[in-house]
Amino acid sequence: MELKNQVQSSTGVNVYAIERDLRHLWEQMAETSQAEGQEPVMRVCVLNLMVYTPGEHTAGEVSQVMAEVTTQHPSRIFIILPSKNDASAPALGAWVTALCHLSAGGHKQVCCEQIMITAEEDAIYRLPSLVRPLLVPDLPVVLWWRDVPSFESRLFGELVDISDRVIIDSAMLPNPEEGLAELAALINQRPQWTAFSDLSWSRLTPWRVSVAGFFDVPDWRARLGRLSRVEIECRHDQADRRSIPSEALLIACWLAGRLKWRPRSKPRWNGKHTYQLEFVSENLPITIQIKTTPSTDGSDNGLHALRLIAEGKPSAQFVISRSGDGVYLRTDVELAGTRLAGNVFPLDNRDEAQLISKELEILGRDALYEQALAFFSSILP
Amino acid sequence: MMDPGVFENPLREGLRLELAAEPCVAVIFGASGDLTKRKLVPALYSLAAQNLLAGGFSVVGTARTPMNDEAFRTAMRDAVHRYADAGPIEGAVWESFAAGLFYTPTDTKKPESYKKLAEVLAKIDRERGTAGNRLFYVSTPPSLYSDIIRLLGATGLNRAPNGGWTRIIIEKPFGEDLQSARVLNREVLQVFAEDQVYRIDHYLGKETVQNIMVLRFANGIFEPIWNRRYIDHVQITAAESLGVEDRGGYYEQAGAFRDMIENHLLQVLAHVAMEPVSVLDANAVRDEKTKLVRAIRPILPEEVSRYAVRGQYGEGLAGGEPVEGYRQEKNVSPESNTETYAAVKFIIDNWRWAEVPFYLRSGKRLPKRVTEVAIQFRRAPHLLFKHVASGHLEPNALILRIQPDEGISLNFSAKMPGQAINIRTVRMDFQYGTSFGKRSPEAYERLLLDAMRGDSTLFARGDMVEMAWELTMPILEAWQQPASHFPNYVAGSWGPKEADDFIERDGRRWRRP
Ligand SMILES: NC(=O)c1ccc[n+]([C@@H]2O[C@H](COP(=O)([O-])OP(=O)(O)OC[C@H]3O[C@@H](n4cnc5c(N)ncnc54)[C@H](OP(=O)(O)O)[C@@H]3O)[C@@H](O)[C@H]2O)c1
Repeated sequence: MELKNQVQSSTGVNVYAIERDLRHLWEQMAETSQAEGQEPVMRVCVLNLMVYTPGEHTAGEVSQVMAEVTTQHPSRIFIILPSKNDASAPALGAWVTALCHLSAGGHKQVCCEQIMITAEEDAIYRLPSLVRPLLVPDLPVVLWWRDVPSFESRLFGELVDISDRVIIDSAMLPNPEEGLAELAALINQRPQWTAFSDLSWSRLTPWRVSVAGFFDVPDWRARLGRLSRVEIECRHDQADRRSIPSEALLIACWLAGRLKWRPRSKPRWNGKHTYQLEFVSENLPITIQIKTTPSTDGSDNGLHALRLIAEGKPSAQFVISRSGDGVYLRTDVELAGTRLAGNVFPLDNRDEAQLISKELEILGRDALYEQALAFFSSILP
Repeated sequence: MMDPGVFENPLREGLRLELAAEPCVAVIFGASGDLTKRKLVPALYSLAAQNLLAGGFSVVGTARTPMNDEAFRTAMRDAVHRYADAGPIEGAVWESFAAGLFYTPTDTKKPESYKKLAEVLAKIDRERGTAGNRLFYVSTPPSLYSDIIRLLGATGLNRAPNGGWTRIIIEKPFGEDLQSARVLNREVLQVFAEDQVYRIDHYLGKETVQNIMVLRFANGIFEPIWNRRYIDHVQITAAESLGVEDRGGYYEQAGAFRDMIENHLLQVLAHVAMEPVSVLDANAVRDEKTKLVRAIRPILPEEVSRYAVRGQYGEGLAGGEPVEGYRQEKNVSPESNTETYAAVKFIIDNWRWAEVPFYLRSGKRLPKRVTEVAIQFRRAPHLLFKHVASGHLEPNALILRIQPDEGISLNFSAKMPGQAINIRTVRMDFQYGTSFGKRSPEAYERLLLDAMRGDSTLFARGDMVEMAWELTMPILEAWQQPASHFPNYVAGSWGPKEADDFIERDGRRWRRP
């Protein structure tokens, strides 16, 4: 069931009109389900989720993602987008929709509200004041900024101010090296209750779990201190432009930071497609090489393989690789060239809905992410 | 004990599981049986698909049925396909999981079997890097438990080679009475140390049972009223709509009390009534639960009829269909004395619960399948709305539903709109399924993973198991007496009239879940 109500008037949209329409929506749904002899509609809400998206063409995609996300996280959704200036139309527009689905048990209809708000470019600054009174009280507020992060913009700043958690995707940063450093600085300035997450970091979770998994085995843990080389392979839209995907930088910094490696030199390009970071641990030098290749069509962007090479007799390689179709991750340990038993498991964070759903499971700040960012800022040229 | 070495992995910190499972071999005794197919292997596969098992994790199945590795893999693939609830099998994931599945036929009564098993395990250690870590899972008929444990000890399989760990999971039932549970405990502890032993009670693996502790101790509003001043009584119900199906042979020996109350419901009771722990550690939690069970007032043999009621279903209607009585079921004696319904009242002699009765009941062929805990609060002390017939004013109840539709609801009174004061009981409902669309893991997934990680919080400790038997023996002994009044309830009803009389004598009524 999906009902749509439109709230619009020439004087502009106001909070009361939207609230009235939300009430109507529920009454209408209760009546329909009663008349059709269905189970009563349940209204469940565990958080407020605001999504900023740059235009109408992307708003449809966001709606679809939300329909999926709300099956796991019933929320009041706000989709916020700018529209073109048009003197003949009101500057603000709002649409109220119900997103309904069957509960996990299968026989309850669970519904959530989605409020889409558009503002003409000139009126965009009015958006936060419209959203603020519509937030469901006491529940956390999450902002998903589904656009190039613009840390300087007024709208971004004001929406961050009313949020408990802010989700961005650093893969959208035109220059990840600069952008990540800016983000690290921003996190430092914000009050401590605002948590930041990054979908690029979330995409790394299964990789990080697998890297950690190798060293749960006591025999292999001994090799952590003997790592000499790390090779990270990734695909990238802009591989020609000497730009490093943020995922690769983040996992490199996580690894180096956790293992307390000290920088030996500033990161630099080594040839056209290889970015090199050099460290030292105890007395052993370590090189991290990030190799980028152009992606075929953008759909295979991201990390493809991670190889950790440890000295010793015999030498050991710990390898994680993504299958060609992007569906699985595979882990292998090679001792003196022989492969030991590894694991294959499906990646459960391949699309936006899955990523966002996972992000919404966490509420606090992610210390590891912040540490990785801070580490990166500290080694920049 | 947890392996402190795992904490030293600097890359583990901050990840979803801070304590991971090390690679190990799970050895399943009874691998051709029903439980392996329906629960154990599907749970292990599901863990593998979530990347929760270490690389090299392996399973060695064993039973008398001759089979080779390939046949076992095929049988397990079918089983996972049929019973796993985490979605369809994924080819590549299955291949890597199945590469770690092995089968070796054994007769658990013969020592040679264990020598052969040891060789298989040593080979897997070499080839798959399982480092001598072993998790034995005893899922055979209970009559074989002693032999298996003794022979594991005699052949040295109770101690891991090369500094690995060895743990053993023992299926229920753990003994059939106090005497046999003590003997079994003694036999187990002659071979294994208590911290190697994981006595499974799959109820403890259920999310909602774990949630009882979260509800009580993570919310500030409940604990202050969680005592005799505010709570009138507690009802714990586990109702089944089915009969004994094809488990008649087992059930004849067990009965409702042994099958459900002595273990599962008593564990639930312990979660509801225990004192808070100061740290969330396996022994701290189990100490508190044991203390609670120790505080339950023993029922003297001559008082059994005051504290407990039994019943057996005769023919009737279940969901509109005519069904047989218990005595007509397959593998059941036509004169059977076995109870298919049991209810008991426990009093806990401590400061928090003095004089608050805990009513526990369980039965088969009741109107529906439901397990719940109902906390019934006292009435408001001063009845302000006297003109409202007080019969309509229900006291508040907090219901913790364990299955199906796990959730929590609170009943309270509210005024109906209108000029007059008409008060109605309304129900505020929270369902896990609707608020968190996420699948709750199967109890066996959680428990197997915990055992591999060395966390025994959700397993029953030896002292608690014996204490539970001690507490319930007088009832079981009294019920040895022939029950001339059986059958005494109609299939599809809420149990025998005696059970209603039993609770009504206290001025209370059973809830209709
Ligand atoms: N099924 C359930 O839902 C459930 C629930 C809770 C607890 N349990 C407990 O779990 C255990 C197993 O239950 P189940 O339903 O799987 O029983 P089952 O289907 O009867 O399986 C018993 C297994 O033991 C094996 N076995 C019997 N005698 C043996 C011997 N001498 N040597 C080696 N293996 C032998 C059988 O295989 P062969 O005939 O091939 O030897 C079979 O694999 C029981 O203790 C039961 O109480 C079961």
